[in-house]
This record gives sequence, C-alpha cells and structure tokens, in this order.
Amino acid sequence: MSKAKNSRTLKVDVLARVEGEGALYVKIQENKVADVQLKIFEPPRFFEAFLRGRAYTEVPDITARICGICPIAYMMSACHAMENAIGIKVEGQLRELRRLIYCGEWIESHGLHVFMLHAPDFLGYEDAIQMAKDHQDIVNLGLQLKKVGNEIVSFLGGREIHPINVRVGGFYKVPRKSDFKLLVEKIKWAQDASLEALEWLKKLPFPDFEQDYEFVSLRHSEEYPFNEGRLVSSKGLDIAISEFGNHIVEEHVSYTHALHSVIKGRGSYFTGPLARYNLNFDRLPPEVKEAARSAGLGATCRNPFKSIIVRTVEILYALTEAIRIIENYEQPSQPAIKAPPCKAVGYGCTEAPRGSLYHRYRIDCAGNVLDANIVPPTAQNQKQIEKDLWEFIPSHMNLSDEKLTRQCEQAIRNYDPCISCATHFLQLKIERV
Amino acid sequence: MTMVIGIGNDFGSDDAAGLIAVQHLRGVVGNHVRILEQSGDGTQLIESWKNREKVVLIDAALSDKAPGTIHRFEVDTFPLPGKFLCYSTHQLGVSEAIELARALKQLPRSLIVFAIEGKYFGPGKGLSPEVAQSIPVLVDQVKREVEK
Repeated sequence: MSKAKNSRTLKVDVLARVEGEGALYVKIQENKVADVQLKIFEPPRFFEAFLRGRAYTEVPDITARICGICPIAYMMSACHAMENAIGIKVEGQLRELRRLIYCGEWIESHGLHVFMLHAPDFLGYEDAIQMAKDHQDIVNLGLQLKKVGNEIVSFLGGREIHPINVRVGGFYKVPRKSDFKLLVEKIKWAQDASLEALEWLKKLPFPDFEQDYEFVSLRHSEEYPFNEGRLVSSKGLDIAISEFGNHIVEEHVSYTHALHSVIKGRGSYFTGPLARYNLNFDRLPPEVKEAARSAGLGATCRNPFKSIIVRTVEILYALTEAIRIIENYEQPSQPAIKAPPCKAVGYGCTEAPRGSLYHRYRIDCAGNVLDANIVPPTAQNQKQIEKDLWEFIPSHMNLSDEKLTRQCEQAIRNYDPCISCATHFLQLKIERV
Repeated sequence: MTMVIGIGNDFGSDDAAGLIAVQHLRGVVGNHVRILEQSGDGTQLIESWKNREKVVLIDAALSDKAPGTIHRFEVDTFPLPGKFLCYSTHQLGVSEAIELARALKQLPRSLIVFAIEGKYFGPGKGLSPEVAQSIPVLVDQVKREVEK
C-alpha cells in the first residue's frame, strides 16, 4: 500500500477465499480509476494440449481433474460433447441420475462458498473461523448443508472428489431404488436448513450496486438448466451450443494466464447463478420461487452482491430437484447406453456451479482426441469482474485503503472465481497515483 | 474409539507421507483404532473427528527443517504454529479446519498432529529417501500415542 500526492496504491498480493492463485492490481490516479487488472498467475495447465491422442472415453475422468470443487461439471460437459460427437443421447432415468449428481455438486460448491467464503465479507470478519466464534449456528448449518451435497456426489459418483462412476453413455453402476432411503431424510433436513439460511442471509447488509449486465446461461424448454439447453442472454443471444465459437471469442491478455471471453461485437458478459436465475426464474418450482421472494428477490436480480442469496436459492432448488428425481426413480436396466466412436466434432455445455462450461472436441474414427477446447466459467467472467471494479471503486473512493481493498475482494468473490479452472485462474493490489 | 487420519495425495511425492504412514500403522495397532485416509479437505476432517475422544492426524509438512524430521503438536490446547499445514488445494486446509472446529466447539478432547517434513511435493509416486527412512519412526511414535 502506498500513497503519493493525489495517488493511492492498494495491494493484496494473494487473494484469499478463492480457489487457486491470482491477484488484483488497481491503480487510482487523481481520484479516478486508472487501471484494473485481474491477474491469474496460477501456471497454465495445458489440459487441452495433453488431451490430444487420448481416448474419447478417458476425457470425462481427465477433465474432472481440472477442479476439485466442480469435477461433475467437467465430466458432464465432456460426456455431452462426446455424445454429441458420436450421435447418441442419454435419456430417461440415466439422464435423471446425471441431474441428481449435478444437484449434489451445486449444493456442495454453493454451500462452501456461501457460508465459508462469502458470508464473512458481509459481516466484516476476516474469515469463517472468526465468524464461527459469533455465528456458530449458521456456520454449522452451512457445513451440514455442504455435507449433504458431498453425500449425493459420493453416493452416485463413488467418492466426493473426482468421482469415478461417470462415463460417456451414462454410468458404470446405478443405484437400486432402496439405496436412496438414508439420503432422502438428509435432503429433507437440508431443504428446511436452506430456508433457515435464506432468512439469515436476507438480513445481511448489501452494497447498492448494479450494472447493465449481459447475463448468459443455458435455457431449457422445461427445466432449470443443468445439462441441456440453448445458450441465451439477457441481450438477445439465443444459440445452439455448436454455435458457441461463432459468437463467443477467447482473447489473450498479457497480464493473466487465463483467456478473457467476450461476446463478439459486445464485450464482457456475466455467467453463473445470477445469470441462471435471471434467465430461468420461470423454470423454478413454485415453492422455490416463493422462497426466493420471501428472501427479498424478484424475478430478476442485478446486484451481484446478492448472488449469495441466489446461490442459496439454487441450493434449495437442487435439493427440491433431488427429491423429485429420487421419488420418481426406477432403476434402469443398463447403467449406460452403447457409445461407439466415429470421426466427428462434438459440443457440450453444462451449468457448473460458477456458470456455463463449454467443451468442444474433434475425434478420429477410433475415438482419439485430435483437438480440444475448454472454456470455463471463471475465464468467461474475468472481464466482467474487472468491469465491476471499474464501476464499484469510484463510488467508494472515500473508504480507507484497507476497507476499499476488502470491498474489492468481496466484489470479486461475488463471482466465486475458481482460478484453478480458469488456468486450466488471486493477490490484490490497488495503486493510487 | 481412537481415530488416526492420514492426510495426503498419493500422486504428490512426499505429500503421500501421511497416507503411507497410516497404511503401515494398520498392521501394528489393534482394532480399537479406526484408521482413515483423506485428502485434507477441512470440512471432511471436521466431520470425521466429530464426537471422537482422541484423534491423531498425520500429514506431510514443508517448513525449514531437514526432510524426514517429525513434528508433534497438541492442537486441542493450542493452534498449530504460524503457517503450519495451512496450504491446501481446497479452501479449508488442516490448520483452518482445526481452528474452525475449535470455534464451533467440535474439537476432539485430544487432537495430536504428527507432521513429517517432506522434500519434494511435485507430481509423482514415492517418497524421498530421507522421508521414507523416517516413516517407521513415525509409525512407532503414533502407535505409542494411540496406546497411551
């Protein structure tokens, strides 16, 4: 942190409570923001390069290793891309089980972010440990909610981190209907717990902030989206997943290891829970809509700080959806459908907890990967996070360097950035000159 | 029942030391000791040691001591020193899990951490010779700890 005449430099060298390693640099000159750089210095991981030559059947398990928080998202986008390539479609109960395991990942990932990583910001605590000393009940509740998500993932996936039961065409093994009994009790408890959490969260102090965002997410004809749909936006984008590359481009930026994504001719956009909620509110079940309204949300919400409420609404949705799937479950006769390879290009996009996750693969006739393209949600949100800070800082210029730095970090955590994913992406430095 | 949790990554070279130590421990302690192998995810740790009387954690460490050096901390009374075992690829590491559990009053009555100093934490299987040499000593110390 340094101050010269009419200048301020704020630095946070390693951003806390985000997944992976990155930094933020902000330069303030003559009381105006002169530069904002979100720097992702976690080394590039070259996944797209070393997927070349690997079998199409290996790709879900390899790409799951990109992230310990959202492996299901990688597995699902990879499976859907490969299935799109070879011309098969997983339907019925196998499709339902895929939605169920995705429910588990949303609950687990959102549970961690809402209660352990983001909530302390709103109450001025250093971290969840300090918050737990004064708010033992809500931290406990958050941990138990997250655990229910973990249990769904390990129940269907074989283990919590980097599950092993997902494959192109379906699963390796599917549960019997009777296997769900214990899980159902826990999910029903978690539904009540998430309603209680919403009551607590709605009372947090929220900065008054919103921008003219272009929200982007999947949209399905009937469902709140996990695995399927067209990619739509609040400014008129409405495309098939195969058209992703025609409308969204990745750009190299010198100061970061992660590529920036922009919509051609328009620029930055916003993916993640807020985008999903705004574009798919009508797809939520009535009881979840009602819970959102009780928590103070309308059918749309443009304040990214309120994403903490939206994430919890999505936890409730995932729990409600999980119950629906389990109640209607009939064990499929086969755990997977046949998935023979052919020379083709396939596209997949599913809704990871942090937003839309796009995969494209070109495979040869034996099913070996010729080239791969993976566009994770945090990379897509990078430019939007910087734009939020360009707008947020001027109206908070009166804050001390320490407070301003803290609020900038909070604004970044609105996006629950996953740096490990983005490099397949935090330090913070604010300079006032 | 006493619980011993080995923490590490099988593919992280010396980071596997905690897992390898508990694998050796399995053959030398009685059935009254429950042995778990975990990745070090803090929320999973808190859940595992909930309502336990006595828990021992074994993890690899990277401080300024010689590889193979064995550290022992009684963390039910005091936090781990400085930045010990705070590094984790998950947001909540071992050190944070201990302090979060302390705030939530969910620490076991006795929680001992054994940390063995590693040398190389890059990708790969197998321990550095200095670390491998200390594993029998570590196993013996943990055995005596759980049999107290």
